[in-house]
Order: sequence, then C-alpha cells, then structure tokens
Amino acid sequence: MKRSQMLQHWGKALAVEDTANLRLWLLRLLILPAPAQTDSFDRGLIRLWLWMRILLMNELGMSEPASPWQWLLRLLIKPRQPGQSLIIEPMLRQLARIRLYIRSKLLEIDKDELGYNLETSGDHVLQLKHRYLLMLGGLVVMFVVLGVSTPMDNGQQALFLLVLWLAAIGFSRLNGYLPITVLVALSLLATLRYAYWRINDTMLFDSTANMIFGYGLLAAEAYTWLILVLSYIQTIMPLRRQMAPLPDDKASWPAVDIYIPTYNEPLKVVRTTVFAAQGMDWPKDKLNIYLLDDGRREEFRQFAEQAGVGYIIRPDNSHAKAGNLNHALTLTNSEYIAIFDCDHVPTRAFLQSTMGWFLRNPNCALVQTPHHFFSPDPFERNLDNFGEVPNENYLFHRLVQDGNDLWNAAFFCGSCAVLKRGPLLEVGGVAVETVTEDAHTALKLHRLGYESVYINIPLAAGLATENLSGHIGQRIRWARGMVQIFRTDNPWLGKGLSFFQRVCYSTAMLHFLMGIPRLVFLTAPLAYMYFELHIIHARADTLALYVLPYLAHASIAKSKMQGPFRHSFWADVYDTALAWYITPPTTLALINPKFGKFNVTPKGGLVEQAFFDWSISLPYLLLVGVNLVGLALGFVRLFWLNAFEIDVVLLNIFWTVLNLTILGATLRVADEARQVRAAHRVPMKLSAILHLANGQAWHCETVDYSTGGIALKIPDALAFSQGERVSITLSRGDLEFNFPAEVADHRGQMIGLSFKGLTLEEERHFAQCTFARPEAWTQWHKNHELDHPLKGFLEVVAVALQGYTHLFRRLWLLTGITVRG
Amino acid sequence: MTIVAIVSVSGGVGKTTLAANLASIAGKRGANVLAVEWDPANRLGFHLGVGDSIDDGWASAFVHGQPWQQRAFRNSDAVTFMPFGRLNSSDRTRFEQVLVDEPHWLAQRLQSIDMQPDDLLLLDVERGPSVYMSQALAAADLVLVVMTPSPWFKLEVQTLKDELPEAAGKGLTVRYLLNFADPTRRSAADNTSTMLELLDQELLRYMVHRDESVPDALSANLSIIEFSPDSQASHDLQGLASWLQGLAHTRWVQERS
Repeated sequence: MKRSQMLQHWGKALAVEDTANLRLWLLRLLILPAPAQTDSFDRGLIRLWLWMRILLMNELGMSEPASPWQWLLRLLIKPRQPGQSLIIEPMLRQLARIRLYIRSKLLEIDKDELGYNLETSGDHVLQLKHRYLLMLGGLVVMFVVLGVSTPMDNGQQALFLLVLWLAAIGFSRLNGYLPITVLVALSLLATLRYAYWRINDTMLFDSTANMIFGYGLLAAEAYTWLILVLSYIQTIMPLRRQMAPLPDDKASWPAVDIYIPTYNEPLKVVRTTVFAAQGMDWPKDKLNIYLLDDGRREEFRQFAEQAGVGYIIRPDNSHAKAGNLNHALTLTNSEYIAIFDCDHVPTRAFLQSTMGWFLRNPNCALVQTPHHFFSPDPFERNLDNFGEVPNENYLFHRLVQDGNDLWNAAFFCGSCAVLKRGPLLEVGGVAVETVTEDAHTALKLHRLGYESVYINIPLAAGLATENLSGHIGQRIRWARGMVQIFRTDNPWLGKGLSFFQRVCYSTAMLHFLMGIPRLVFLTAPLAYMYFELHIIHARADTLALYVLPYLAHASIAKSKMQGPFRHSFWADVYDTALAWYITPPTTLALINPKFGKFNVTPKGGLVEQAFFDWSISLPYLLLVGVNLVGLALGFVRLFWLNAFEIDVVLLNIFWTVLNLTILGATLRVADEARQVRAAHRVPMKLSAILHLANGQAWHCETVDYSTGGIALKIPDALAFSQGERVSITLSRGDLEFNFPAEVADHRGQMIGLSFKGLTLEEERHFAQCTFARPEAWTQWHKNHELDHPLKGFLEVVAVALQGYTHLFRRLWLLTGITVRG
Repeated sequence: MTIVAIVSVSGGVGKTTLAANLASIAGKRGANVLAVEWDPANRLGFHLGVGDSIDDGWASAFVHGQPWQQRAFRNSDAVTFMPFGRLNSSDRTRFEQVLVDEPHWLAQRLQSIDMQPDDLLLLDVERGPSVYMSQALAAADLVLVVMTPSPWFKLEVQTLKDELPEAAGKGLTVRYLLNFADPTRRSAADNTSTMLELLDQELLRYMVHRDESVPDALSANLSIIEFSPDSQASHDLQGLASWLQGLAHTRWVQERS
C-alpha cells in the first residue's frame, strides 16, 4: 500500500476529512475522536487506540473533554505528580523488579572467565593471530552471503535487527578478544547490509539536482564505511606487548644518544626535560644528551654548558625538525638515538623499558612509546573534563598504535621513541619530503623490512597545545603531512610492505580526509529543508531500519574496543572541530603535495583572559546559522508545506538536531577558558617531609606539583604565615632530596609551597623526584570512566547545550548591554 | 622471643631515645615488650617515664645478691622495663669482672626470662666497644647499630666488626640504623648517600629523620607518637617498629616449622 493510499484509508476510518492537514489528524487522534468509520479489523484497532487514549489521559490526570492545551500542559509543562498513576507506574515498578532479577542473575556470571573460555577454546589448534583472521574471514563470508543481500520487508528487517542487537548487547558484556571480534562482525554485517541496500535501492533520482546531492552524500558515506572497516582491522587486537628485559651485564648495554630538538620553546620548559633525561637509569658513560637548538639562543647554550649536556646548532633551519635531527646525526655516533620533543619529560625507566627489544630483535629499528600529556588540551580545558573524559590523543596512542603493533605497523611519532642509527641512515635519515617526517620515516623503514615495536606504557609526558588555534594548527600540519605521504609515497604502492601494514598506514592517512565527508553530513539534511531535494530515495521508516542498526552496531563495537581510551561521540566533536580547517590543506595536498609550508606548534603559552575565539569558530557559527534556519524551515514544512510527508520531514529534523548538537559542542570548545597557572600542576600522591625553621619535621602527603611549586596535605595542628621559609624533602628511590621553599598559601589541610631560587642541581633533583618517576604516568587513565555509548551521547548533549548558552551570553555581551551577575 | 640489641659505637646518636620509643610503640600496639637496660648510665628510665629517681635495678640487685628478676616496672604504654640500677665504682668493677669471666652471662640471664615466642626484648646497650657490648652481641638475635650520617661512619662500622667475630656464627643479624637523617643539610645528605652505597643492604631502609619533636616529646614526658603522631619521627619509628614486629613474627614462624 502506498503512503497516500494509507493516509486515505486511515483518514477515512478516523473521520479525517483532509488527510494533508496535520491539525485535523491530531484533533481526531487526541482531542475529539469521532466514532470509527470503518469495519472489521481496523475498527478493532481504532477502539484499541481510543481505549489507550482514555488510559493515557487518566494517567496524565486529564479530564474529558480534552483540549490541546491540556495535552501540552500535561506532557510538557506540568506533569502529574508521581505516585498518582494507576497503571503505568506500578507496571514500571514490576518491570524494574524483573530487570533487577535478571541483572542479579547476570552478575553471577564471571564475564572474564566466560570470555576467556570462549577465547581459548581453540588455542591448541591455531596460533592466536591466525585464528582470529580465520574466524573473522569465515564470519564475513557467511554474513555477506546470508545477511547482506537477502531482501526483507520492514517487519522482517526489524526482527532481524532485534536479534542482531540482542546478540550485540549480550556479547558487549563479556570481556576478552572474542566478544570484540563478534561485535565487529555484527557491525560489519549491519554496515554491509546498509551499504548494499543504500546502493541498490535508494539511488533513484527524478532530477539532476537530487542526483548530484545524492551521489555526493553516498560518496561521503562510502568514505565512512571504508574508514570503519579499515579501523576495525587496525584495532581488532591490540598487541599489548611486554617489555623485553635487558641482560644483567651492564657492560653489554649499548650507548644511546638523546636528542632534544628545540626551536622557539621557552627555556623553562626545556630545562625539566634535560634534567629528567640526565636521571635516566642507564650507564652514565653510555648516555649522551644533546640539546639541538634551531633557535641558536645564547641562553640555551649557557644552560647546556651548566647542565653538562651537549649543545648542537646549525647554520640554517632547513627542513625544520627533521633537518635538525639529521644534522645532529652527522655529529654524534651512538648506535641508538632516543628523541624527545623538548617538552616531553622522560621518566628514569624510559631506556630500560625500551632498549630490550633492540637487543632481542636485531631487525628492530624503532621502539615507540605513547605520547602522554599532563596538561589539558584546549578541548579538555575549555570543557573542563580533564582526567574524566579521555582526550583525542588517547585513542591514537593507547589503542591505535597498539593495534598497529600487531601488524608490525606501529609508526614513529616524532618523540618518546628510540631509533637505530644503521637503518635510519639507510633510509637517508629522518624523512624531509613531507611535513610529517616521523610517520614517513617509519614507512621507509618498514619498506626496507625493518620492524617496529610499540611499548604501550607512558614513559614520558609533556605539555598539550595551549589554545584552540594552536591545536588546530598542529592538526592541520599532521593532516597535510599524512596526505602528502599518501600522494608521494602511497602505502598501497611500492614494495616492501605487508598487506596489513598497507592497511594500517593508509587508515592513518585516510583518516585526515574526513573533512569533506564531515561537512557533507553537517549540511546534507539542509538540501531537503531549503530546496526540498530528496537525496535518498527511500521511505523514512525503511531508512531508519537500515541506518540505525548500522550506527548502533558501529557504536557498540567501537565502544567495546575503545574501552577507557575514548568516550562515544566525543570523536565526532573533535573531528567536527577540525573538519573545516583540514579540508583546504588536505584537498590541496591531494592535488599538489608541495603546497604550503611548515609551522611549529606553539607550546607553553598562556590564555590570560577568557575569550571567545570568534575567528576560529566563524565557520562553525555559519554552519550553526544555516542549520538553525534549516530547522525552522523544517518546522514550517512539518506543519504546512510538507505535511503530506511528515516522516521525511521528521527524519530531516532529527538529523539537523543531531548536527546542531555536535556543532554546539564544537562551539563550546571555542569559548577559551582562562588559564590560572603558568606551570601546570600534576596530581601526585607521595610521601614527603616538611621541615620547619624550628627544626620540626612533619610527615606529609603531596597533592600536586609543578616546576615552580608543590602542594601538600598537612596535619591539622600546623599554622603558617604567608611567605614563611620552609623546606620539603622528596625521595627518589632510596635517596632523599631537600628543596627550600616558601609558603604561598595555606587553607585548612592544604598548603602550597613555591620554590624560589633553586640551584641548578636542586632543580635537576626536583625534576627527577617528580616528572621522572618511573610510575609517574602509568595510572593516569584509571580515573577515566569506562565508555557507555548512551552516556557519551548525553555528555555531548550537555556540552552542546552549554555551547549555545555560552554563545548567546557572548553575543549578548557583544551588544554592549551590561547585565548584573 | 626475639632479642634486639640496640647498640652504638659513638655517643649522642640517639640510641636510648630510639629504644624507648620503639618499646612504647610496640607496647601501645599490644605487643608484649620487655625493655632491658644494659647501660650503667641509667637513662632509659627517664625516656620511659619512670623519671630520674631510680636507684635499684636488675644489675645492682644482682651485685647486691638480691633477686634481680623482681626489678621490673610497667608503664602506661604497656612496656615492661628493667632498669640497670645505680652501681658505685667498685661495685661496677666487680660486676664487669664477672662479665669478663662469663662471656654468656647476659645471654643466660635473658634466656631464663619466660617470654612468648613472638615477644620482643629490646636491649639498650652501653656505647661500645665495651664488655657490655660484647655480652649483648653474644645474647642478641638482631643487632641494630645506631649511626648518624657522619663522615666517620666507616670507622664505626670497623669498630663494630672488630667486636663481632666472637659472637658471629650463630645466625646473628646485624643492621645499621640511620638516626638523625637530615636531607636539609648538605653534608648529612651526602654522607647518607655514601652510606647507602657502601653499606647497601646492611643499612636499614627505615631511617629516622632529625626532628625537633623528639626532644620536645621528651620534655613533655611523652612518647613521640603520643606527643606528635604526625611528625616525621613518629612516622619513621612506626615503620621501624612494624619491621621489628614483622621480623619477630617471621622468626617465630620459622622456629616452629
């Protein structure tokens, strides 16, 4: 039955004279029903509805005759008090009891054990890696044959989905690799089924405009399908590699050069890194530290001399950081080179944790460790969720790289890594052809058959970018560089790489092409809202039955895989904020890789006053504007212009609201919060001794520290005056070090100390007692809550609402009217 | 019973204060602790709250032919304490002659005390080298050598080692205990790191820091953990006491099996 026929049929049955009139429908359904105008089966349905309507009205506390206002009042404005409900509430209570019972039964199942048993059931037959490949392959073939292409009507499709969804929910509760594999398989099935249907059934257009937009949207969607599949391969089984122990005989440990390249970063940032590097547990005669100063600053030279580290400069700055490193390669001669960005402070365990792999595997050319940041990135700072919601960086460094490692495709990230000199020279040093020299260098090494190792333990930590424009600038560079590599040294072409290495590299590169598809999704529903273009040829309900499971399964599978490293839907916020900005550079780089020039990320700056970054958010303000107008048009269409296709209008409204949610969260990020401190405080609980001028020593616990001071929890009885001279003792292994300080503030059990005039040696010891402790960063993500898709979504919605309120407040302020409070 | 001899080869290292505070902490925790003074200087009583008026002690009782076993006090921290007792010069010479003649005099007396297997007996030993120290080394299961972070610590170690051979061979454990650790003073900190390096595992990692709260507690006639529970010295001594109690317990478990 066609839609118009159906509307006619039911209109007649319900006494709706004009089926195009939404008001009449609502009147007949809710307010003033007419007696059923038809016979047999439909009559029963209508009676059922009428009965339910009475029931609903009773529940809501309404009385006959109902008026539109009563409905609005009870549904939206002033709901009935709880406890007065006759049927629904008791029913819900019963349901809750049943749910509780089932949950309690489910809790009795040992999820770890069940997951483990499932996983190890075939251990003796096949190797781990092969087993998963085989299983995945088998499932995919089965699904493609059975599940993807079988045509179903809406009812069948709904049932099919329900089964899949229940299976997914069940498996998502188990732990281990196997449930993840099953969830991925289910998601692939939903994706392929959607894609098959989308390409075969929805690409019929009755106008050229429809066709152009329709194919545009399909292309954007095809991109996301591809990325989804590739990223599943990339992260299906993070390797979680162990450290390789070093031989007991320290004489056999190799010599290591430590390069700390710097260009324009402030000295105070670099000092900590140098001091920490000096404290690394490695034979002193085999540890050579060099400061590579492309800024050629006298201050730095003097510091290097005082601190006792090498200082290397060169006449020009050609090829920026890559050139800087290559120049140093010609001047030093250790077999291994550890590289730290000048603000990445290594822990003392760094070399002992990484070097073992070089000795175990002579073919290993690179050991990379995660980049960890102890200061909030602009997103975290402006959203004030530092330490609660994992940031963008987490997913890549804690999951994606570990996933790459399974396929021997973990790549160099420019810092916190050790490279072997021989292979590095073999590929001509650090790559200079592209602006992401790190990944490109790794690609070249892999092409020559060398192996890379990823140790998924944070062994160094640094400062995140300070503000949104800096953050975006950095990502633009990454995006451009990766696309440059994709163009000039495409991982799918050329010799030397395994299939999966090609997959992993190209996933990393293709990810940065997400700009245009993102923008397409952010504007697609507007084609209908503004111009009434039907760019998907399908009924809204059918579309929903295909697209929702695709999205839901992808969300469940990803959520399970990403665990503590990513909260659902935050990726959309991060990506959307970048989409506009990386679109031009990536597009240009695709056309001509030589376009554009290198820019360095600003670090250590300070947002001194809260402000709204209008310039950076301008494109998003425009997108919000057109979407808001689109939404308004949507309502016009819903009630008046297109009342005959309510479902289509509702679908587009829903889509627009989703887009506005993501855009709202993005705007929230542009509202730059003020930074209070120049030096970032790192939380740390350690024993410390507080020495007073009168000779008393008090046992305390540290709360946090920065390069300039430390906060302590002290016993109640102590009283301090501002500026009082005290000193504090921290320990590093068995040794204790004392640091003179003065009391900066004292509130209850908390005392803040600031260091004044530490000697170079004291400063070194302080860095080694704090930043460089081996366990300093390992527990960091323990505070992150595990992901739950719905929760992630609600977080984003809340942030989006804040985004709009902040925006309107800023706009209000711009009008120049001052308001109290 | 585990006999812990707390000895020193230099004066002013805080040996008696340590012994008294360790006994108080273990006593307050409910352990059965006997603090035996083995030092004619008679200072332990002062630290344990008995004051400075004790004349009779177990050694003086022995010299005077009285039953030495009855000279015990018990303080509010549940520490049982046997003072040495005052001896005049000639009595002391006579007593020390006995000690020279009978190298195991102390060991025999202490073994005759009826104590439970995991009880602690803390012996506050006169500064060595002396006949008292030799006796204590022969009687003890564990020797805690109290030292300060001084540049002459190597001499102290040598002095002690010279005393040891007679006693060694019966499973005697010797640990150096650093008192007055003071990271605020450069020389003390440097000496500490040298000691850590040279003495390695023989140096106990439970060092006690210099803390003015300790003499303040003594003036207030309280143990440090009562006087100033949050002080660093309290914290250090608590750790040390736990280690001692753990050791006594382990020894008992080993003996039983």
